[in-house]
Amino acid sequence: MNMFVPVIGLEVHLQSKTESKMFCPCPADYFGKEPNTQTCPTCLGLPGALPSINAKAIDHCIKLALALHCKINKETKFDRKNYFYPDLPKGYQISQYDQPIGYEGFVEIDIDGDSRRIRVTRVHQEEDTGKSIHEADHTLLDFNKSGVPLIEVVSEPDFETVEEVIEYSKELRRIVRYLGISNADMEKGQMRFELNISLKEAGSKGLPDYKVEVKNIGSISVLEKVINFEIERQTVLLKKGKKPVQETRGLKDMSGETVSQRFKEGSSDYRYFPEPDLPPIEIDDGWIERISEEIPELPGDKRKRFEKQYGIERDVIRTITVSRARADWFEKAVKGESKEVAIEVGNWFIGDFMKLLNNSKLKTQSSKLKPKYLVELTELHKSGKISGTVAKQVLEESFKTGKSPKEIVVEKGLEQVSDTGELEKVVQKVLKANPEVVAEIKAGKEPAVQFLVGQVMRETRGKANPKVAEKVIRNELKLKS
Amino acid sequence: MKNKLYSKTIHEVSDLLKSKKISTKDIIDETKENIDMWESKICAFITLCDFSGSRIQKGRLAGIPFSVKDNLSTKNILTTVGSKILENYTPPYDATVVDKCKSSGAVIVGKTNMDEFGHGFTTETSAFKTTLNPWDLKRLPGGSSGGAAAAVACGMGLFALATENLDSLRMPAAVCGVVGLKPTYGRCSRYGIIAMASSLECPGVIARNVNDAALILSIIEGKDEKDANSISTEALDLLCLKANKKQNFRIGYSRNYLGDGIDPAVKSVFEKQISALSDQGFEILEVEIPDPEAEDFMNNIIYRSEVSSNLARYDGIRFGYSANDVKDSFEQYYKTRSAFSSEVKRQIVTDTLAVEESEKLGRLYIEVQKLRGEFSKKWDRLFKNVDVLISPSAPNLALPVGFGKKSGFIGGVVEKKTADEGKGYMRLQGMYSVPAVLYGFPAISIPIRLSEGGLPIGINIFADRFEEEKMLCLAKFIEETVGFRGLIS
Repeated sequence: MNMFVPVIGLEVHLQSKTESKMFCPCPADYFGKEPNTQTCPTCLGLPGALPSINAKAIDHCIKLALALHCKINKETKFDRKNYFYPDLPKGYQISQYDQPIGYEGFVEIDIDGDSRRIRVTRVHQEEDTGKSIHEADHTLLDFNKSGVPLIEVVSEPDFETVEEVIEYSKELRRIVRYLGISNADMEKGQMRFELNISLKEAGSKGLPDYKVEVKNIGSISVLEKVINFEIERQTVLLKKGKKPVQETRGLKDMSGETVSQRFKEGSSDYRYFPEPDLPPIEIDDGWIERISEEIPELPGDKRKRFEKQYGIERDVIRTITVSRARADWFEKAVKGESKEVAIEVGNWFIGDFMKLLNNSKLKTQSSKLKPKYLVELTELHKSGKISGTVAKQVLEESFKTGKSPKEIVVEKGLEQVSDTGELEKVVQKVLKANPEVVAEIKAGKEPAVQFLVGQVMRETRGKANPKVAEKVIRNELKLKS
Repeated sequence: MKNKLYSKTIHEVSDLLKSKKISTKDIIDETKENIDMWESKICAFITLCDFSGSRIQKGRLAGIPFSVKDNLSTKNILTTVGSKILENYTPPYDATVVDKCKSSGAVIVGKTNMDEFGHGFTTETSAFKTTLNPWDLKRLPGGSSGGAAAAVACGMGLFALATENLDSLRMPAAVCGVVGLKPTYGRCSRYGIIAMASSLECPGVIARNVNDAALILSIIEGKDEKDANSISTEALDLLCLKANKKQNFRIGYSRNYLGDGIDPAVKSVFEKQISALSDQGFEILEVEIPDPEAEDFMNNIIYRSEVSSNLARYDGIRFGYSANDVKDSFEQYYKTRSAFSSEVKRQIVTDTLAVEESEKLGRLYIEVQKLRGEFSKKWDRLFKNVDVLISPSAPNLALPVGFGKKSGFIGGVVEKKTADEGKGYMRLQGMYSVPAVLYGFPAISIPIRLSEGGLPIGINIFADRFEEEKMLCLAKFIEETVGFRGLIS
């Protein structure tokens, strides 16, 4: 039996984060607004209304194209993509056809430590459509979304596994968030996917002679399910010797199951032609340079640098670099510190600190805990001034109040007691209170010493240095240290 | 009627208002009475406004009544574009040029009749009515801006805002004996013009003389953020018209303008005007114009491609006519779009089919746009040798009622089956009008004299892009030397 491998290409639509829509002054932030309140003659496609270009959206598109290592079309233009659909008010969508803003780029993704390049065919600017709300026997239309700037990123069919597609999607989401050009919030429809998927025999060259397209996928998790469903569906057909039909399929529900769609579309049906209402755009070197300067260090580069500069484990880095704000916060903390400190801070960060953040639904930048406090905490702990248990308490306190760990330790007298003289008193008290345990130890059950240490810790409310406490106990009981 | 204020020019009425010899109420009331008298005869309006109690804004046009072609969006006023499909459509906004006139104090008297979607040259394709030529009620006012030209000719508003796509503003002005001014493409905002061919059409003015037309242009011109193709340019210098000094323009014309199909009266008036200009000391140059057939072809492709796409939005969902009792969106489209007249439907279908197969539309359109750029250079060279070109405004006198219905005019070209009498007409009309729309040149038609039968004959002057001042100066000079008397002067 032949083995099949998938050949997958992805189109990702990203809503650009601009104040106004792509071609009119209506607010682009339509989410949750009363239907048809964020509209004007232009985005409603009223007769006589004309588009005018939102320059900020073009900046965003150039920025993403550059971040994806694309070449920039210095002469770019808009085209009309003609088709009929009730939520497409003009009977055409203003998009880009043969001169996209960016072309021939790539995205580098890490799969289990191996990096792989997915080629990007093009990055172009277009406008979103309105929204159809299908109800029992009628459809409602909301044009608040109509005309929201949309960036389309088209990949080459370079994916061979579902993991690659998922990682690419997540990396793309990280990149646009780093760039600040889109929130890519899938729950709000700000990031959507169209999938091209077919199977070929393992080891065969070239592309399969058919292609299945799945439209309107609203999240990465559904995307994953759809890919798995299609691989399974197409494998079954191919194993029976049948070639899957070249077609557009839609989602049946959120399970990932796809169904054949009644209407097929192809680029030839769209009758693309240059948008006569908009002049061509010249993107000169100055413009490109200005945008380049605004591009921050991107997640891939940041991960590499963090690994090299701070020696932190890859998984820890991935959590820390998920967003630029988080990575910046972390870097404010560890700047100028040794690798050891950075590693410790990293562990505190992804452990207790993240837990606190998640529980209080806060973001790093909005937490009261200042970045340098994590370093302070690490140092207090490492130098033996506070125990691990106390450190956790201090972190929580600092998170709650915004006070520095040092301050908290002093204020609450939490400094670890390593002074033998002071501890002797406590030990004697503990020994007196636990005669049976002392007897057991003396009878040879030495591990019970740890119980006594625990009692000392309890008495001191965690302040005792457990090592010193053990030493004092052993001394008192005349055991070997 | 004491003053016949409706028959005066904007300048005259403004002066009377300024010197307080009349009030805005006088001009408004007299215009209203004049409309009551004329409109029943010539049917220039699709919608008449109740403008007698209008609040008058301060400004350069305070109290001046004007009409608006029915393809220009007017806030809260029905805007049908002469079509059933928009018979109930009231825009929530004003076209930029309308807004500018209103903000200057002008008062809208009504929306003028036009061929459906501007697709025709007689007003006979209007879904509502045919406008008649006020000079001869058995004749047509030209089109598509026929209602606008007829209205100005008989004083139903002191000027009209209209649009030009091909000869749709200048030709009606010529056959109605008024001035038609089409500015450089991009000088005035297109925002609010119900689009047919986006890269060809633009708003313009019909007025009773050159000064008035220039004044309105100075009000409606200017870069508009809402029209990406509008261009910021130096404001029109109206003083250059006041100077009243003859300038030494080099005037070009082509013998081809007088080819087969031209009415002898038009030919004679044109030739006499050329020799008059020569006698007046102008340098007259016979020039070779670039290939009119090729230009007609380019114009045709661009027109068809843009129209086919621009008319897609009439789906009955958000505005205008909407078919009832449909089972799905496809039936909704089908039934709603059946409300287009058969002429427009024919055009949409042939336009779409002609260019649909594969991606030919895109490619052909792009090739033609490139060619348009190349040809434009030929004209640049031509305009190095001449300051302005002149041609007749129309090869014919006002056409008899019924002409538009039998000529089968489609998208600016003659269909193969077109009646022979239309052929020469179309070829010449194309020659006079295509360059200005294809390359965006400014152009003006001014009335010169009447034919023996008493029908107006005009000439057409056009100049290089943004050379409105040259064109207007010459137009004014000619206007003064010929002393044409308007219908109601």
